[in-house]
This record gives sequence, structure tokens and C-alpha cells, in this order.
Amino acid sequence: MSRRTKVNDGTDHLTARTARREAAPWPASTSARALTFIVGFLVLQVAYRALHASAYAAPVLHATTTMWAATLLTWLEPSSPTWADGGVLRWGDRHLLVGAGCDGADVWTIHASAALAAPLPWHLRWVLFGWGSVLVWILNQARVVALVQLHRHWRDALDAAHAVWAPLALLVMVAAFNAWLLGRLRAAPMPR
Amino acid sequence: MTRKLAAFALASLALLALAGLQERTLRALLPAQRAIYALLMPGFEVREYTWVSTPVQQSLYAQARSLDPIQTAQGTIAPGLILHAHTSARLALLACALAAIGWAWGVTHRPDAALRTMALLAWAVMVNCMLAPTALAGHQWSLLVDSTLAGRMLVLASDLLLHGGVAMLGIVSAVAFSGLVLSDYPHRAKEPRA
Repeated sequence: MSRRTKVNDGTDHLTARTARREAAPWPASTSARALTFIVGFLVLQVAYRALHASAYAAPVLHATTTMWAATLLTWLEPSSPTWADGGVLRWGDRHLLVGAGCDGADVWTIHASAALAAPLPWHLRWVLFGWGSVLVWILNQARVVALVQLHRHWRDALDAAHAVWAPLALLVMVAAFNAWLLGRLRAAPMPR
Repeated sequence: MTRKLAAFALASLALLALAGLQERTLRALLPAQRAIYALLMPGFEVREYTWVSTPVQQSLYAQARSLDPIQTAQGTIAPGLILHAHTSARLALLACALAAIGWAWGVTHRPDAALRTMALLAWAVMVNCMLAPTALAGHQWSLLVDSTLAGRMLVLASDLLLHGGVAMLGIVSAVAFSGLVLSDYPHRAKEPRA
């Protein structure tokens, strides 16, 4: 009966590292992921700025954000109907300009670059991106509705809610969702 | 689990402390902000740097007057040009709130709590002093975008701050203060089930 003896020639850790690197999807290292996250964010920001400065900004904002928020606000307060006028929400003689952050683009660009840098195969990365985008849209509608309601009923709280608490809540919820879904997707069995 | 609860409680306390920051506290930083703004606007005299309060918004207003001729692609602008800019007075608080969440995780999961706390306080003061003047100077330089490379960089920084840059800065600082390393994540995830 022969006994196989394993000889450690000091290369085990290198073999393990190579195997891990081969198994891990792009970007494999922490620094590459951080770089992808930041570069992805900057590229999306440049694209967003180009759209924001173009003639398409108001129709896109109307279709994706203000139209839905106006419907929800009118349903909440039928006595004071709200209507969307491009990127502006109007009710009575007041209005709220939705844009440069309140359209959800800030959180969405961060989420999209996080999905790009996620340690997942491409098809699961699209799943993370898609579900996260839906969540960003829903939460952003809630943010816009909440801000209009504060404008109507509790104006003293509007500034802090607009500048700090609403974006913070959005970011924390999207980050928590991403961490949860990333864990689920990584734990799922891979198709062979 | 206890550590996670402690981190949650600490983060909640830090956020409550931030929520308690009133206009008077933030106004105390105005002289430092004005000095930084003056540094970012070479060749301009800072005429106003004030807190503007309306029922729906607290903002900072800056006004600067050029002292020297300014070369642009369209020609030379004579001294005396007056530039105005507004930005949110609470611009930096979002980044501070995110950093505080990361800090709460860091001090409950890592040994160097005192160092992390000192770093957070120093970082919060720096961010609160720097961000608003940068945003204001960028707005103003955007009118003269052809002038200098430094001006163009300020415009870029200012635009980024308005469109998610503050949130990004907060996320990066939160990760730094928490001590979490993203590369840990694959090894903490569950193994695939057969």
C-alpha cells in the first residue's frame, strides 16, 4: 500500500491565488473593482451631463419621473391636483423643479457603476443592474412625492430633507438591496 | 449580532447629532469657507459670502469682482466683472452622514476606535469647509470656462458635486471609515449548493 506524500514546495499559495483569479469574474482584484466603479461613475456622469444639457432632458424627465409623480400626488390629494410640465411639478400657484439629483440620476449612476464592478458573471450583473434600477425608480418616485408633500405641509423641513435625508435614505436602501441581492446571486448555483 | 446592533445604534446616534446641527452651527464655518473661496478665485475680490434663508431653502450666496483683465476665446473682459453664485448650504452633510454610517461600523468591528473617531471629525470639518466654496467657485468659473485649466477643473468638480459627486464622496469615505474591503465579499458568500 503506497502512501502519497504531499511535498510543499512553497508554490501552493500561488496556485491557489491563480485558481481563484481564474474563477473570479472580471474585475478580479479589489483595486480593479474600485477603479471600474469610479471610472464607470465618471463616464455615466458625463453622459448624464450631455443629456441634461440637450433638448431631450425635459421630455425624458417628464416620461420617467414627473408624469408618474404627478399622478400619484393627484391621487393622494385630489383637492389640489398636481400636473407635470416637462421637468417641473405644478400645483395651484406653486411648483417644484425636478432635476440634477431629484430625477434619481445620482443614485442610479452609482448603482449602475456598482453593478458594473460587481464580482459576478455578466448575465447576473444584468440581473443586479435591472432589479436595482427598478428599485431606484420606485424609491425616487417616493422621494419626489415626499418632497412635494413637505413643500405643501411642512416647508421648514423641506431643505434638510431635500439636501440630506432623502438622498441618504435612497442610497442606504439601494446599497442594502445591492448587498443582499449580490449575496443571493453569488450563492446561486452556476449553470455549467 | 451584538456588534451589528451596536453599529446600528451608533450610526443612528451620529445621524441624530447631524440632524440636530442648526443653522447657527453651520454659520460658524462661513469665515473658513470664505477664505477657501477667495483662494479658489485668484484675480477676484470676494465681495459677499453669505447665508441666504428662504422658507424652502437654505443656501450660500457668493459674489466676486474681477481685479485683472480676463482672456477668453471671445476676447478680453475688462476688470470689474461681477460674478454671482448660489449653492445649497447643507451640501456637505450628505457626505458626512454616509461617512458616519461607515464610521459606526468601523468602531464596532475594528480595534482603533479613537483614531477612526478623530479621523471622522477632521474629515467632517474639512469637507464642510471645502465643498461649498468649490461648488460656488466652479459655478462662477463656468462663465469663463475658456480661461484656464484650473478653471476647467473647478467647473468639472463643481458639476460633479451637484450630480452625485457628494454621494460618491460619501460612499467612498463610508467604505474607508468602515474598514470593509470589497475583496472580502466573494469569500464570505455561501458556497454553491449541489
